[in-house]
Amino acid sequence: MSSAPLLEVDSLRVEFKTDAGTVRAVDGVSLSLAPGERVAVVGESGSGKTVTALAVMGLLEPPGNITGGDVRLDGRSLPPLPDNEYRRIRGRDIAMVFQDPMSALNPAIRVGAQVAEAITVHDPSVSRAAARRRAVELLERVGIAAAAQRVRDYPHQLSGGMRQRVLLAMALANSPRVLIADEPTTALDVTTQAQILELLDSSRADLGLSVLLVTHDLGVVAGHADRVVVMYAGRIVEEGGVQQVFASPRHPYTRGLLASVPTANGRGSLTPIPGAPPDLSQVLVGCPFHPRCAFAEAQCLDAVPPLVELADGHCAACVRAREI
Amino acid sequence: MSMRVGDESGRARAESMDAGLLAPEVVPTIAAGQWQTALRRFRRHRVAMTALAFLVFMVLACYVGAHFAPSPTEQHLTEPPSGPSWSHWFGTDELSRDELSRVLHGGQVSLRVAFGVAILSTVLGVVIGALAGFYRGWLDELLMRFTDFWIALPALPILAVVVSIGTIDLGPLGTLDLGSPFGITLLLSLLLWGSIARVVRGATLSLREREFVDASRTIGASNTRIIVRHVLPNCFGLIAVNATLVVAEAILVETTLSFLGFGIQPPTPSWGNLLANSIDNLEDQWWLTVFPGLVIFLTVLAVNFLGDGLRDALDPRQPVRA
Amino acid sequence: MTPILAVDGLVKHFRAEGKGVVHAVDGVSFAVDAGETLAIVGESGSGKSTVARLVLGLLSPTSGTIRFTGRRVQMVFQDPYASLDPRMTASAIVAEPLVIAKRRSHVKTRVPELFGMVGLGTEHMARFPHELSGGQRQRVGIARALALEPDLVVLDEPVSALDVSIQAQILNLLAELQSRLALSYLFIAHDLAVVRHIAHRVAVMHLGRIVESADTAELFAAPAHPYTQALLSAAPVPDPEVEKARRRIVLRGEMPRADDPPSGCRFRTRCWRAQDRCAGDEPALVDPGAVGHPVACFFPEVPSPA
Repeated sequence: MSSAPLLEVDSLRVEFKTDAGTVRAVDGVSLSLAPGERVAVVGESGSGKTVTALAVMGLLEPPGNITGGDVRLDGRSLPPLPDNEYRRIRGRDIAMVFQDPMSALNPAIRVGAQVAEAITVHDPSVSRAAARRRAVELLERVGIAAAAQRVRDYPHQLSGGMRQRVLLAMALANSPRVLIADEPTTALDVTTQAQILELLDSSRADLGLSVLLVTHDLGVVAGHADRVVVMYAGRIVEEGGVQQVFASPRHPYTRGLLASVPTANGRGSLTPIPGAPPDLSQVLVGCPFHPRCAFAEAQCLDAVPPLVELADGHCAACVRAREI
Repeated sequence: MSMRVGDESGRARAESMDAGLLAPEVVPTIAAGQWQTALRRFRRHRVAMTALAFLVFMVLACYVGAHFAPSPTEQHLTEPPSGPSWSHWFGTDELSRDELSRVLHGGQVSLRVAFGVAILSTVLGVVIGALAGFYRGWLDELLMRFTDFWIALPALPILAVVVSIGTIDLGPLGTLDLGSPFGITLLLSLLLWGSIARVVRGATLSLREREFVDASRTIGASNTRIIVRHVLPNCFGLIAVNATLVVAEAILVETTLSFLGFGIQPPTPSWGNLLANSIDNLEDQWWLTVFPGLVIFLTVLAVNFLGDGLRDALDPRQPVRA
Repeated sequence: MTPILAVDGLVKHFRAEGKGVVHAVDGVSFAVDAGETLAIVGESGSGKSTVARLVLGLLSPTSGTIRFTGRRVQMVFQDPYASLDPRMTASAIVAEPLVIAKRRSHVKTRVPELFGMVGLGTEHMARFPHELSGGQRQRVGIARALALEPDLVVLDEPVSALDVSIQAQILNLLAELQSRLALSYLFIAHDLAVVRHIAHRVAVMHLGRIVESADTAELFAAPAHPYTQALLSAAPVPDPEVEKARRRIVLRGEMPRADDPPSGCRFRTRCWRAQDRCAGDEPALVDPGAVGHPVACFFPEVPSPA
């Protein structure tokens, strides 16, 4: 890689203290995002992918806490920053788009005002009129027709797809360098999803953004990411270039996922992964995937397998990665 | 989990019927198995636990302790009223009756009335609220306007007037003395069910939209079964919290009523009429006002804290306050 | 052979306060044969969930007929958590249909049998929904639906709310149950990929109407209606090579509102093949011969001769 990573997550650990015990939601996750790169973080519920995204944005709330590791933007460590400094970074350098656009937008404020707020929060010198003009521009840029009129709409007057575009406009308002999108299309219809993903791609190209795409949808990863990071039970189990990982998955979980996903281009039968994800409030012995793994052996119980590089940039956390 | 934005059946339903839909999270349903968690959370709520202990102590004192106190009616007319002493912890009143004992006996009456009101008004409020919330439409309108009417009524003047009617003849059911504790309980229940009805209606409106209600319909459950077996059990926490508030309210209303002379009549002691007798002599015999007043205040406070604790314990999203 | 379910001209309009009429379902006709799975695919606003509820009798139609020749219809719901009463144990939930039908005596034998059928063990019977995983909850929902031995099961997006690795488990379970118990399924979905693995026939709905209906293989191989083509094109495929190579159809604009559908063909505002004629008449759902299955389009894509 020619350039230093723009965003770095280094051995991140996040814990949640609940009534039922301490849940280790993220347990030693490291990843990096280079300028202009699209990295997808894939996992199912409980994998820790959303918590990772929230930790990067500094949006973790108690009972969740970063208990280890670091998050660095341009080499600068973020977690120790005081709240007001983190706020300056949020929305300006790193922006985030969430899954459910309805709950991310204030239902009582017109959308134009919310986009304008995203601008003035980071640059108070901008006049209200100028911010509003810019808001209209941004709404046009994200493909909202008749933006000048829609600026005055309330969120409930817009469809799900349009609300997500508004969120995107707010995220891109200050030309951030990193965009974190947490399941940005999961709550949307498939045709709207295609529109939003295309918008993400074109925005990225226009602005030179780096995108961290958190999703459970392998199809979205295949079409819209350069590198993929597969998470399971709070850890990374496989990572690499999208072509590499999909063509020859080296971790049993990744293989299982690919074999169990229904595909529109048809494959015949589905092979499900037996069992269910582990309870993260319990201490896990050995590899967290071994109870469901078709390749599990005695040595899988010894220790958590480390992430080992198998080929250029392609790593897997499985002691049998080379064999399978 | 994927929630289809704008799911058309939900949206259509919302648009076709009066909204007032609360998001499912607003009515936190407690699975029966989560009672242990709720209990654990409650136990950690120190203020509520103290309040509970105090209330238990109050009840024990009023019923059991009263046995050991001197008779509340025993009079020593020769002795003047005296302040707190070792033989009379709360002092004596103008008829030289032991004040502590009168407070305890008065407590029996006041607490009985309060709990009775809580139970009766809860039953009334739940039935009305559930019917209104479940069936909606004209029944809802009718019941809610009816509820609004009752809530708007000024309780004290109405009660004062009604109680002064005295005894009414119910024909085959016998006679009812409206000034008796039982009569007051009935009257107060009739006046205080409104807030519970509103709360239960809101919860029912929300719960009836949940998929498990639809699921019950598909397996053939009748409306009655759905309300009784599915909706109401999921409101239980909400009802419990509101019932404690009614207890507090009932104590205060009964006390005020009796204080004004319209409630429990002497010689039956109640906290309210104890205050009525004593207020004129506040300067000379402060103990006759302060002790009953203190007891009322602490009891109502404790009930409110208990309600707080219940609410916090049953709300799964709240961090437990120590 | 009479189909087990025949729906004809089904219409459901909702009166929206101040906003006119929501045409949730506007003239839908289809049939399900015994032992087969018909999938109804559509996005939000298509009316597919309303159709499910109409078939179940949870809603009453504005007009149209629903003819069911079997003994019982049951339903499996989308959200495995919301469709189970949080205060009941799993066994109580599964037993309830039997209790309501006054077959309490059957409960002791039937409930464990049902649990076994859906792949749950006796240890799950005393658990509450919040103590079960999403996949297990959905199995409970399926067991409940099977309690009264239905002939037809309506499944409203039964796997949408489940994790990907669990979806496959449930889909396989449903297929197995179908062959074992000779069930017919009406499978409502938004996900074409899922439908491909479980349905014999597919009907595509758009804004209250069926726009195309065909055998599964045929629909996927040669979709004739532009909306179907767009849906297929938009469905992401977990294969980077395929994703790079495919021709993506990205629709313009938004789905029209159900209370104000466009004149003529309801898809024309987003359709790249739309012409003047499309704004005038509404295309009927017929097989124009060249296509081989019913399509509601004036300019359907005709499969090129092999």
